[in-house]
Amino acid sequence: MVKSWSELLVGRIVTTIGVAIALFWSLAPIYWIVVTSLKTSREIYAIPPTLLPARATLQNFNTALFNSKFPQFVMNSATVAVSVTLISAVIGALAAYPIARMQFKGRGVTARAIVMAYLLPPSLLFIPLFVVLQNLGLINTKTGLVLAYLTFTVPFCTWMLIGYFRTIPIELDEAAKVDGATRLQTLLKVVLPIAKPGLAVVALFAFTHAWNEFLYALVFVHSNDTKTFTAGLTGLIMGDTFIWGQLMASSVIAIAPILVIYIIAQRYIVEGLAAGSVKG
Amino acid sequence: MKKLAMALLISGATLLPLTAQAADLTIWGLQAFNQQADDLITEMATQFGKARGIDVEYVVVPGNAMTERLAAALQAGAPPDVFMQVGPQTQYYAKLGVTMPLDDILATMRAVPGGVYESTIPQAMYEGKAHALPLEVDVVPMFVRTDLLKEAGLEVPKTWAELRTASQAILKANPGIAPFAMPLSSANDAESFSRMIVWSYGGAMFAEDGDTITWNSPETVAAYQYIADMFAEGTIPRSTLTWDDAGNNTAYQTGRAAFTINPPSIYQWMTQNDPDLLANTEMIAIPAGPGEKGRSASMISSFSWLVSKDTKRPDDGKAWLNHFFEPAQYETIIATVGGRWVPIYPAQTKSMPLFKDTPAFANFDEMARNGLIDGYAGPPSALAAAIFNAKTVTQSLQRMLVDGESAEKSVAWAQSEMERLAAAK
Repeated sequence: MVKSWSELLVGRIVTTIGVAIALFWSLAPIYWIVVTSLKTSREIYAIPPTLLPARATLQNFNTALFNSKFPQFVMNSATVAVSVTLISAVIGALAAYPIARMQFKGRGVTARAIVMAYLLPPSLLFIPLFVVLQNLGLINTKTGLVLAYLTFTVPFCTWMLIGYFRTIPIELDEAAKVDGATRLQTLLKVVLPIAKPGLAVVALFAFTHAWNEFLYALVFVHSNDTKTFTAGLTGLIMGDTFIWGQLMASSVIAIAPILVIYIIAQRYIVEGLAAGSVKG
Repeated sequence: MKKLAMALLISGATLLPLTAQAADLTIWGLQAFNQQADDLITEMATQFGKARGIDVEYVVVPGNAMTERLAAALQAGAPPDVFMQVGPQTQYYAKLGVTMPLDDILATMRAVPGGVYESTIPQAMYEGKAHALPLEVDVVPMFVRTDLLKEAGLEVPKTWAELRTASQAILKANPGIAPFAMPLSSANDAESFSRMIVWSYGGAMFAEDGDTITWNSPETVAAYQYIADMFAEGTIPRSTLTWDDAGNNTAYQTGRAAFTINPPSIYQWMTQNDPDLLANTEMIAIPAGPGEKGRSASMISSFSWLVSKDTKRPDDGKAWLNHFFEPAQYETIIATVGGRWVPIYPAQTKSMPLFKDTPAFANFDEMARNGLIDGYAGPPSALAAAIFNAKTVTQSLQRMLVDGESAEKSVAWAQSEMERLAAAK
């Protein structure tokens, strides 16, 4: 049915309004963080609040970058997040492939167990995990934090990749087998190159989770050498006193890497999520 | 792609040391409200370790994270050797049996000329032994906007009745002002400050034996009614029902409140950010309640040091505490904190320029001396801490303010809840 001109116009107006609301909803907090980071402490508390800084200052960034431990916390976050990303992607791919492709006893149970492991709330796990890490001598280490995050990211990455691998025609595996490829060769040389968008999504998910995670970071590490930025930010809340300017400046600094990664990987993410969502 | 992945893998592996190098002595301290003070104590701990030939790690823990961290560490059987916690929590850890008595160090502190603020000691005592050492006094004054009072032609209030009269006059002259910024949510401040109003009216949660619950009294009902009346007439704004612990700070710091109760963090903020507001502010003792039992009642607390019972280095742990409380050194810490911590030694409150020469701190010595601790009129107890954590008082206030219950019924409900918690204990 061909839509009339007025119907098209109404459709466009509704779409535009919807997009505008979604943009405002998403970007308003970011805008407020950025603007607050550029205000003096006195202006932050001004009534009525100012939409733009009356006199913009970089003092909060200066303090966060050069007079605090925050850059070190960001580096720690990066180390942990990169490690979690790599390990999750590798283990996830190796675990997902047999579940997606091979027939063996307990395959269905394994797949369901993986989903269940992913669904366990971190707040229930933090004390048992603390005990495990303590016994391994890994409390207050980045290695310990990486291991803790893997309990969450590996099940998710595996689960996502199972869905993604199922979208790749099995005939490709069979052709590789006819050509004499082993299972591992088939995975590395045939399936994974096609599954790049899926891998990008799970890698990004693992990175985002490790980058943003708070509870484990707060409990499992405590020294400046190991603390990640999410736990470091709590140091700017002193009882009932919030150092808002520095909190916001530090948040802007912490947002930057993840924003850049998302912009670069945007194409893969859309493809990967779309493909993974069709078959699960 | 392969090269990138390999490079990332190698860098990740290089950057991740496998296990932590455990320190000989681990100390967890709460944030001292400014970075300089945290740095000073960290440096002190490092130097202490060097002098003693051991590796000391001082970890600054944000106040809102200490309880969770300690819970996990205790569960794993790996608590820090020495740790700091807010005073009322001492009862909990002592009852768990995870702390050791520190009476010998308390005796040394008491031997310092002028002694210590004895008002802080009961919260450190468990079954007759000092299981904690208060390292400062948290006093809670009232902040008053003198310029608004002057506009209304009124003096600084000394009683709750005067405060209400002043609030009405200020609201009439400045409809945009929330006269009394009294948090009435379930935040910790609300739970503490509402106790202070009840105590000022002559009410008490416990009898002196610490077992009998005495919340339901005519004095408590009168205090509830006072809050209800101010809430109804708008001199306590409705938004106070949703405030977090920073709500009253924000109201006062933005110039939207004429009175609030708070520790001196507001003062510190004003000194750094708003000298005009500071010039128009006075910090006074909590107003007195009516009648014979009426009094000015302020709640005090204190950050306290505790030593783990299972520490492998009890002597080093205790040596650290002796080092920390050495008066000259201790004075440097207190001076660096800048007023948020009142020294545990009364002599220093009188001699240190920070307290002696700052008019705003004039009432601190009296407040530290006469302040009441949670559990009043009984001693501090695990039950008092449980009632605080259950937010029973603020819940009962909300029944009155939101659900429209009478003051009598709300107080009676609070009493029954407290008795239920006592029975459960």
